[in-house]
Amino acid sequence: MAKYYVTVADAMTQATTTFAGVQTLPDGGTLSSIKVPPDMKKISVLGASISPDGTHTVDTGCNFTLQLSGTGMVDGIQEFNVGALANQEVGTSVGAAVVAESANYRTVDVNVKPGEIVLSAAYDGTDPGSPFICITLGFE
Amino acid sequence: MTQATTTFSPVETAADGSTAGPIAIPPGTTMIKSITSSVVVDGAHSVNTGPIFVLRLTGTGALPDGNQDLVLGMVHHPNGGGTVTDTDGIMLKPLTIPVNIAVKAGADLALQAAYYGTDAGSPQLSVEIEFA
Repeated sequence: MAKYYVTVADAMTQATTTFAGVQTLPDGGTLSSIKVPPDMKKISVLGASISPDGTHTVDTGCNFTLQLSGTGMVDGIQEFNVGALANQEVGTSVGAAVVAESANYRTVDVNVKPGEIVLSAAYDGTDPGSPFICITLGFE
Repeated sequence: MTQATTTFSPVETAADGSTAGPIAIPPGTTMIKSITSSVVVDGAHSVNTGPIFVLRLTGTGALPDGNQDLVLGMVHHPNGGGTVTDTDGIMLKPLTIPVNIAVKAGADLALQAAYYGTDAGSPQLSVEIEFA
């Protein structure tokens, strides 16, 4: 069970199938890489939330991938599917629906060592309108 | 949550409306075992906003491993060009995150929350902490 949690997020303004850094702290600061906390041996929890913060472009659907890299990774670069967003419109739609989704927490088993971990994210498909992606790593 | 984006603010109102302030970590406990939360917008949800919410655990001497930040979830109100009249409702199941966060009994645990993205209209956040 993880005992140390770090969270970062960013708006994804890049083109499709292009990794970009996820490095903004919840207080607005920048954390370009996460230093593996002292005595932590692995990442055992991965929490993720994705949101179209703005106008969600219609008839788009994207899958999101998180990439972990850096000197703190024992077994090299790791990539994770962290979910998808889609928005469809048929005809002259006037519908809308409030959406609320809890973050998805999953167990993972990623060995780490003293060093830095860099978080990057990419999406496939068509840009849905610079969505936000927020990631929590749980170390133990 | 009436603060600006990427700004932490205290979460300290008890369920009976009183101001609980920081939580006194119960005697004999050594860890937080789980965190359960939900969030909704109590009022008009600004269209085309979709903030993502983060909980911070903090407090002097309360957390031997330091502050902990955990993502909780998102809310979004899609509305195309922003001119459509719509009425929507949701029911959100609470999110429970099993954790193993060390605490020091007797110290004060403070809860804070922030959001990324655009203000949806002063959302309400509720958090339950399970000590063991």
